[in-house]
Amino acid sequence: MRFVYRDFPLSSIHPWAQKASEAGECADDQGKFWEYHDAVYANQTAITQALQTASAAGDASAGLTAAVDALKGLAPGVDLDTAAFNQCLDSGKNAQEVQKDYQDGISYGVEGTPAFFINGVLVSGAQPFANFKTVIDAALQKAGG
Amino acid sequence: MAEETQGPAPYRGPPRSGGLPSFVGTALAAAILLIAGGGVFAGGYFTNAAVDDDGGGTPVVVNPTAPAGTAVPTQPPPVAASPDDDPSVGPQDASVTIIEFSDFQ
Repeated sequence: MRFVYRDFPLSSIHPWAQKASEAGECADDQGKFWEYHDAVYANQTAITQALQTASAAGDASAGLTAAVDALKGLAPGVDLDTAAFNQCLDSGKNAQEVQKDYQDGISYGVEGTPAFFINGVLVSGAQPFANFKTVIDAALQKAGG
Repeated sequence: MAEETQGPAPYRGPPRSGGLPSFVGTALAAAILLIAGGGVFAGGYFTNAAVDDDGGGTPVVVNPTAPAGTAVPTQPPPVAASPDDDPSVGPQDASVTIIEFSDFQ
């Protein structure tokens, strides 16, 4: 079994999702995607609070800057080269890659997150394990497993 | 005379309000459990029969030529979702690939 993560930032309702996706790609550039992925999920609340606090004191731009700073703050904890990571995130070099993922997701019928394709079969939303098992078993059977 | 001394009252127990309802209720409950249990076992059997195609001659066969999308009736047809060059775990040639689309917030 292979598991692939692609970005689908819901920017209309999640103001720091795009930069977080870019940050994940920056971590992937250093071979630390999954470690960074876990760190972001573990710190979702703190990142959102940083954004909200700075937004209240300044504006939306200040809020996003604070969120990006919080994203950068996670880099040392997963042994990233922070200088390279920060430069990567600030440059926006992965912005297009993230948007490519998003557009591919739209073209595949993704309407929300999380969405899973199991050998192409869409399982939409956080569903019970049994639903995944049904689709995985069917995929295995079709594959001759 | 013996009948007189035994008397009905001490041997017939306390008065019952409705004859056999507690017994009937127990029997019904047992029957329901049996039926429900049978249903669960049957469901498990058919589920296993549907997914375990190990060549053991299982008589219950899901149409092997049906599109994968029909395995779950509510699913749309499969799409050719690409893994692109995105982060992954597991072998590239795995028989099953799960592609998650998600965001971090």
